[in-house]
Amino acid sequence: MTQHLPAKLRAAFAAVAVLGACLVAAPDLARAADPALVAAAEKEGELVVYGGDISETPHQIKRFMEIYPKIKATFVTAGGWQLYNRYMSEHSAGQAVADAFTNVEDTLLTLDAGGHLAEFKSDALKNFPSGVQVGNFVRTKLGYAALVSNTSQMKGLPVPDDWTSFINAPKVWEDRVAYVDPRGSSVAFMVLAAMYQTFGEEKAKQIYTGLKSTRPEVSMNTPASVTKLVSGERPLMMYILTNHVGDALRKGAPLEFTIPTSGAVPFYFAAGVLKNAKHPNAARLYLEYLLDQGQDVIISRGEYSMRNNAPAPKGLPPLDKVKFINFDLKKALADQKKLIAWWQDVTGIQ
Amino acid sequence: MRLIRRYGLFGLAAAAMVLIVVVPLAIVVVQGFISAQRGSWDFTLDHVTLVVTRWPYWAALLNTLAIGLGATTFACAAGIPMAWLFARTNLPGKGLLEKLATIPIFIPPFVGAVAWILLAAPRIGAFNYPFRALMGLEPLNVYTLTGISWVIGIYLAPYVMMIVAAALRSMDPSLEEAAQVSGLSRLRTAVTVTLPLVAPAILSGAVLAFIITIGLFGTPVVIGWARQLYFITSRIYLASQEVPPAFGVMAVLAIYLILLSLLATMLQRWLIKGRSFVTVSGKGFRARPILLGRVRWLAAGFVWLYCFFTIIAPVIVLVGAAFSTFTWSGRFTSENFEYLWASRDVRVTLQNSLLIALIAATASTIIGIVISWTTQRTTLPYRQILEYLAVLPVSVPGIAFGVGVALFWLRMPIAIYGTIWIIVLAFIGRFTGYAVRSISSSIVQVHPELEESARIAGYGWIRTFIHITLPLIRPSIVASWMLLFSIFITELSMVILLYTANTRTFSVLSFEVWNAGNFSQVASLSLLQLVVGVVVLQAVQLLWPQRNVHG
Repeated sequence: MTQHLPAKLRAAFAAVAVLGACLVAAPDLARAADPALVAAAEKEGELVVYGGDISETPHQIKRFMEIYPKIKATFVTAGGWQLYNRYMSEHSAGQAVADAFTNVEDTLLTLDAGGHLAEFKSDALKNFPSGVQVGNFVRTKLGYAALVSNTSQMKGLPVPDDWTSFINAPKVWEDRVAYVDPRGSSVAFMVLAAMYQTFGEEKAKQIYTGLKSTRPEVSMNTPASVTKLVSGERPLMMYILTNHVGDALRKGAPLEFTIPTSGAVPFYFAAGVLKNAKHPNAARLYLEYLLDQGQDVIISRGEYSMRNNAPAPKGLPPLDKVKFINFDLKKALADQKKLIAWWQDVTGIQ
Repeated sequence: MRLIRRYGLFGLAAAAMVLIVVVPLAIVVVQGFISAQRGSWDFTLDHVTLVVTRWPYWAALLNTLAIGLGATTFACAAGIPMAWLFARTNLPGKGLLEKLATIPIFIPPFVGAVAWILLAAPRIGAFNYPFRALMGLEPLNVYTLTGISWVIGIYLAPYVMMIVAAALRSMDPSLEEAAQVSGLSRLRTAVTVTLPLVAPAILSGAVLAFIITIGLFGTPVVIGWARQLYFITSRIYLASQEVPPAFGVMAVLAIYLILLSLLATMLQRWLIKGRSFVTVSGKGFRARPILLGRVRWLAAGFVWLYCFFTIIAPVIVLVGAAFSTFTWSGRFTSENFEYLWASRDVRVTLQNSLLIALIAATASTIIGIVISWTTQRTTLPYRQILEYLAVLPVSVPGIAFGVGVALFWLRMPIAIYGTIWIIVLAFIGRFTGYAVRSISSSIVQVHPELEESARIAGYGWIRTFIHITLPLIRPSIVASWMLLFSIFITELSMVILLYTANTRTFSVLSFEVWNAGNFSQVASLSLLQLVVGVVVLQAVQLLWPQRNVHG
């Protein structure tokens, strides 16, 4: 039979047991930028970032708070369009909480076109190639989608060297391939659009029909596929992004990254200050930070920094050795519904 | 004044339910019948027509029904025997086994799903290894409707077990003893006497399992999406991804789930209608265990097997993953555990989760007691409405109910949006029905003569409730609180819409890390969540020990 403890002791035990799990916070360090902006941002004391780069945003916020400990920075991460929908709902109800928005530039283009971004200029842009500033937002890093295989699982088996390799997919690829559902992922949609624009409707159809013949896994997002790629469950991915593969390669995952002979699909991550930000100076300071110390975080995480003369990540080729597909993002966004319907028609996935 | 006294509590409860249940639900439902083009709202049947005339939505409905029934079957097949073994028999080591069998409720559903992919996926599933090595076969495939039902069902079994065990513990065992004296075997006694007497609790547990399953988001999406097995919640998620979100389609699909939930609840009521389940009367009792003889080792083996499938094997996978640089790498690191102590995110989100879960579980349980008592013990007209209102949102998928809550509070002048209170209110609104189900089934078992005696002896209704009813239904109250706490500490589908930067919860953090493709870190977070859950479970059981039979 259970022994009954005295009431106070029981209450104390419960309180310690429950609250013992609640711990306390405490970061430190210090570094400076434009003193007037820093002072204004510190006066605001808070910053809310909506970050579509799920893997990087927490690291950037952590570093930002180490440098500016007087600013309490918090964030929400999710898929880019989910964040966009969330921002639009809050904005239309007059309860917007986000100060800065970072994601692949499709959502930033849409936000800017809708007049939701504040003007942003920075002296730090002199350290970057031209074209980093687009409208009212800045490109903070470059990524690209290319082919990838798990070398330990695909040992001795053929691997694709181009997007078109899937047109005549060998039998051994059956149940080994994964790709991502373009309805749920910005980058999967960009790859779909790039295939359509680059190869034309007929050949793009052959690529996706070939993919279908491999009985592929169609994941809801890229990281879900990466987990399976790394574990070997699905050792071939139609595409992987540099921002996902960098971390896995750094940890020694047996991955081979192949730039397709037709070229990789490029995409930019970007950041902007929201026009109705409650903490506009903190948001500006965050963008300044992304163009300065934030680039070091990008490099340390095995990704391509946009800064001039930045080194290539370990295990990935320098950017001037990478062939890119040219595709028109604005046109792709305009054709989004049509392209998704086309993909559904070709693959039979409804 | 008399009217206020008579209807005061009822009115207060009704007003609260309208605010936190009816309004968000109404917002969701109305979205299914309006078109908000060009700034004006017009009535339309377009969304209904779209959903009703397209095969993919029918397929989603059929898939949802299939896993709803499948998971309920698995949950009952494991949960009911365990409840009986823990509450009624001399099962060896049952104290430890009962605690172990409760732990799965603290494993977030999507983490259980990912762990089961590593256990039973065709190429890499650990359980497939021996079959492949010996026979060249891979018999287990988690990516099927049966696989999904299994994964959901085994993790819902503790809910069924807790509800049924609470009813068994409140039950006078003299009927079972009489049956055995009359020559019935232990098994026949259990099947023909015990089980029918706790039928309301079994039905409550089964309906709860069914309703949770059809509204579940994480497991069906994590496992099903990969093989194009879509469910109603997956379709709602897809509709929420559109720009702007297809609220109309989301609403119609949410209405499907509401109707399914209502059907299940009505079926439950019809099955127990007109029968008496009173097993707690004025006569005191001291339960003696049913002696299982040598079968008890077999029974213990059954519970251990359950624990192996739900905790031991997944925890081995999680520990292996948490100590690995990446899944199945064979390279080990303590980095993922150091992260738990070093990360401010972990501390802050854990604080938020505990605070929200403690407040919401306590408030929901109190409201559940008030509603159950009002509906079962008063003669107020229309009192059943309260119970219907409480149970109504249980099957509405979190993602849809979350939309209703967000849209409502976003437009309210009170500053609830952006605070933990919007999550607390959403939890209370959507989940109080669970407490009502569990506590109502317990109150039904208490004979009114006990309360009537107290009233005759001069007790007012509050004192009667506190001194007579409450102690008798305490096991189900504790079980309800635990159930709600476990749901709230791991809930994701609603929180994902309602949290803001300052109110991120631990399950949001786990999902973000999973979304970033870092399963090793998700594993370490899940282990921490398990430890926190076990500590809370232990604290509650120390504060309010369960009434166990001796054995």
